Amino acid sequence: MNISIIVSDILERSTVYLLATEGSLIVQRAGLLNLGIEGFFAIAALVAYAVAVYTGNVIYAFIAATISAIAFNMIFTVLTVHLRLNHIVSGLAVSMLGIGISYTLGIVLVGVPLPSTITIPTISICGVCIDPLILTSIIVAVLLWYMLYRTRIGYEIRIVGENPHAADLLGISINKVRYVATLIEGFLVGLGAAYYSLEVIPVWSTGVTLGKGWLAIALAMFSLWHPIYAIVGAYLIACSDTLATILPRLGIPVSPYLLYTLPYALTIGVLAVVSYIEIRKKKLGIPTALAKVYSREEKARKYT
Amino acid sequence: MKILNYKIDIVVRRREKISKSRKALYTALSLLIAFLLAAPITYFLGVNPILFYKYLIIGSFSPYSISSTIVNLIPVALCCLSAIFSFRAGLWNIGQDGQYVLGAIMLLWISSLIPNVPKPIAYTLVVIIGGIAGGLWCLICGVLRAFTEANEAVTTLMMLYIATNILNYLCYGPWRSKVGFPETFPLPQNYQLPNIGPITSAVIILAILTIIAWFILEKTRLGLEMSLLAEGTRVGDYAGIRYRRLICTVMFISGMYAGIAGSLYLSYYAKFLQPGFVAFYGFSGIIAAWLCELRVEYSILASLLLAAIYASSYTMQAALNIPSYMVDTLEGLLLTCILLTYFFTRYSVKIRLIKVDRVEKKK
Amino acid sequence: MKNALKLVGIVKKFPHVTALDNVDFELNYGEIHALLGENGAGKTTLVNIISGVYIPDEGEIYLEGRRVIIRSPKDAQKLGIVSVSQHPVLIDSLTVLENIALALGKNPHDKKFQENIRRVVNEFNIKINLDAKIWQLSATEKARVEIVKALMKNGKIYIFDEPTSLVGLKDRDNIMNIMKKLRDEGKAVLFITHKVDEVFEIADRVTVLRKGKKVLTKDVKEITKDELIIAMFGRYSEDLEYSKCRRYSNGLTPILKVDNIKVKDDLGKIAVDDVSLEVYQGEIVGIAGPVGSGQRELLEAIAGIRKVVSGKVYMFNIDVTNRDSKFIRKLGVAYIPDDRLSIGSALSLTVRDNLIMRDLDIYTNRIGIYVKSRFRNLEHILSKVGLSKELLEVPCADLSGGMIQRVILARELLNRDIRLIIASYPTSGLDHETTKLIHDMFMKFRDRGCGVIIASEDIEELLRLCDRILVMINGKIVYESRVDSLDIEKLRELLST
Repeated sequence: MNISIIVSDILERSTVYLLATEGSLIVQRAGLLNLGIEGFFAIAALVAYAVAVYTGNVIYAFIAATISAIAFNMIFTVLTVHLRLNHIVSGLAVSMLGIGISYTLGIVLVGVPLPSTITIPTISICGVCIDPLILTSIIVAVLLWYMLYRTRIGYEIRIVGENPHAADLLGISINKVRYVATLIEGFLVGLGAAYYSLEVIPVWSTGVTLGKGWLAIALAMFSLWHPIYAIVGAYLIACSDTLATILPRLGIPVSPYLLYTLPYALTIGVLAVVSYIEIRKKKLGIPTALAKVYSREEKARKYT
Repeated sequence: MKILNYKIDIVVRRREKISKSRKALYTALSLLIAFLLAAPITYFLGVNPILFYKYLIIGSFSPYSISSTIVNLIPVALCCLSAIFSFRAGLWNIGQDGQYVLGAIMLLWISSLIPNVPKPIAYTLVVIIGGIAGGLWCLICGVLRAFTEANEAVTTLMMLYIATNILNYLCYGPWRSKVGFPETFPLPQNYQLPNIGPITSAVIILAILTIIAWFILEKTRLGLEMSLLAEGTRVGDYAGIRYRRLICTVMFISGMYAGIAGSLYLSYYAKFLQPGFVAFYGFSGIIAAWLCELRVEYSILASLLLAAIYASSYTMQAALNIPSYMVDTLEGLLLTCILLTYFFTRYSVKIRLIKVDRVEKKK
Repeated sequence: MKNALKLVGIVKKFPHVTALDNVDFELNYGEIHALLGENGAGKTTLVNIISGVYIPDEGEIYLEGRRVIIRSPKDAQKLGIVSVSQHPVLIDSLTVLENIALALGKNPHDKKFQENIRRVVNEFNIKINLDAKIWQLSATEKARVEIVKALMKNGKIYIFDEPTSLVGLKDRDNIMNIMKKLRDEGKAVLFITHKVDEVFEIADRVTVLRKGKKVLTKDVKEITKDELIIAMFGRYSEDLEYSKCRRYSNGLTPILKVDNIKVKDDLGKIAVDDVSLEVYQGEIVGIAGPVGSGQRELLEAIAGIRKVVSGKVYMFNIDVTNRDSKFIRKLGVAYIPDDRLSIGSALSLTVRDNLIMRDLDIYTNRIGIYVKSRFRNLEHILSKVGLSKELLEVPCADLSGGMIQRVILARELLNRDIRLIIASYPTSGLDHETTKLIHDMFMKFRDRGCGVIIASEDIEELLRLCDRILVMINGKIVYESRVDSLDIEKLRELLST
């Protein structure tokens, strides 16, 4: 029972959560509630694993994963932004499609181990393995924070999420902004999913990614859609995940399944507390247009 | 200097009206397309798509499989009603599967404490226990939404995973009855709903619950208040709605229907619990709800379609070795195509070429 | 004068109403062109088409002689069309400077840009604080931000939508001057109004729309006020004096008594600051004053949909302070809210549902099931406000503003026995016919002994209807008088700040 192994484990899991959460966060800021994240997380994870198995090249695996995630995510964006369909149902459709395709096609890979050529370069600090992706996730968080609050595109994303009507009249292209946000989300989630399937899990099995995607949505919410607070959230949940694997090894006779409920229960609790605090404070800055479909003509009619 | 140019102009306009037959046509077309799109995936798995379709149809509508379809119809239809209830109020309960599981778990537990209750009472208890368990499970999210504005789509999903993990815990742990398989002990005999001929008597309960749902939504003030809640504007204040009470009521009823789905299924079909008890009937119910446009009159029809997919997927698994997640793929395709139909029935799209004069930009 | 904009054969339809029926329109550079018509005539629709908010069903648009396609506000902006909307759409959490910068695609921290803004603000004499956050501003100040935004855009064609309707007198003169200045600089200025006097004050040409059709386009010098009024309404406007059947109460117990109440607005600031008033049986009391002085919040608090922070409200001698709207309604109180679209009606529901939603205790029994027999009343109620019974199953989103207001009127006044009517800007944005209907009904109820309290931005309306007038400024009642002993000069003075 090595502390350094525990810490490595936490770092790895939190990287996955952090990347996925940052992706979901950006898209929520733009007013989209993308429940389809489960879908393209599963697809990206499968693609990464498959490419790794068939080519043995870890870089290809990551690239393929991110591209597939972005492409699949586009389905959601087309449905909600262009066709103005309901977010919740569109997200569920994309999720089901993604989960279905991923685990159906993934049948052939169940139990197939990764080739030994798949390694991510790591540095060992006091026995703790740190690889570039762990650092990247933190850098991403900081970059996103800078982008959201200091750059023009960040302003636009926030406005689109808060008041799409104003954004429209300001000449901001709502579609363009949402596509950009989706692109970023696809990229980040693809990275996280690839890392998950290549580093975190021992071998591919059916249903291995379930629950991670939607957890990311909840994490984004309870970090108040702030890229830096998301780090705290991701690490918190990673700890609870790791706890679930440690306790049995420590001889504590708790069923692992009950421990797996921990992250979800924790998330609900924190979400409730955070939402409660938000309704007490003034609601400036949260994406008030979250999950609402925007239609220019129908908005304008309000003034006739 | 003027340059003449052509421009592709796409105009999307909201339709004023669409005839029912046209709508039906579009819907049928989209379903067809969804099924067609499934072919490439089966092909990739090395299965002949023709066989895939053959078993799809046989598997759902042959006399042999009618009872199998009915078996799947009941949970899907009840989850569909659960979704309709919640969505009509603008509340997004998408964790039906979690409430479904809780309904079954509570039934198994309480029935094991009082196994020798006379049959009529036992059958009633199936409905009541399932309903209350599912209702309370969903009510938790309802209370959170009412008092803290926590997003119920997210919380119900989290509760879903908590429920499935509790199920796994019980199956692998304290309720395990067999070595080697994570199965629980069975439901006491008296609680197992009988069949009427080849079909389970639970259909009667489904029929009753459907009528009740229709009545509440169309004929009582609760239905109207739910619609007002869904507006999302201050009109609710104006009409004197007590938001918190309403949200909790709706979420409870929604969870109740899903919970009954679970307890009924355990009672008339599964008879014991195992990790595979969760067949995601909840999501199918949501798809059915969307397919029937949240109208109870069409919910059975929509649920039937989804139940048929389930029924045939078991046949396909056995005959063609297609994994069970194919169902999810099919349903995902179905839902996507339904959404597209929804768009095309609401909006008309005209594409045309227009001559536009463009002037060179001055520096 | 060069031709700036030409619209030919524009048709725009909405469900149940044709907003524009084959309208031609021309706008030149170096002119101020007034677009005149009563509410609902199609002026805003036409302008929305020019600024890219709507897409016409038929018709073409030509800019300086070339055909153009305008599919979004961005397209319009690219063509040099700048519009100043009546309802400012600004981002609350950002400052004035940031809003303007974002509207122009500039970095708020750019020094040169800031200089530019200051120059424009001085040149056009606009009082504004660049560093204030939008949510801190009053409606008038927000309107000023809109104007600065528009001026900074440096467009070729300017559109002002009812620029003087929401502002005080000082701003009004300023806006007129701005329009003149733009015209003198060679821009094309189009301004929408329903006030005939403004046309003569400042416009060069005028186009009149009525019920979606263009009636005339003429030089202002070649037309008289009467001709314009006939063009707008199709007849001489009726004698606008209502029967002076005024009643003045003799100090009996008031049916509504408000005691020193304080009410907060949506942003948490005190909007109603220690207000007291009474309304007696058989009288109409009007509340005048600049829009945004708290009248809306006052009436919402009395009606039970806004919290009273301190003080008391009594109706029929019952303490109703902070009781919910259902309770107050059951006492026989009607409330016509100022926002007919997002408070007064549920747009996605049918007319039938909207008619019963405030009186479910009448239309359902104890356990909440609808009582069929009581629904037969609805057709009768609709006919009394001039709506046909076919509309019962139509969703309110398909109705025009005037029709929706009639539904609200029917619901509020005709479902039960009404003793007190609370009306918040009930006729704003409505056509003449509906306005008259509302006035007639109020007077009928007044004659029956009902009490009416009405807030309006139209002082003429109040002078015609009311028995007593209160003036509210900045959350306080600063003047109160019976109409027959009104000091007109004092009133004008108060209203022009």
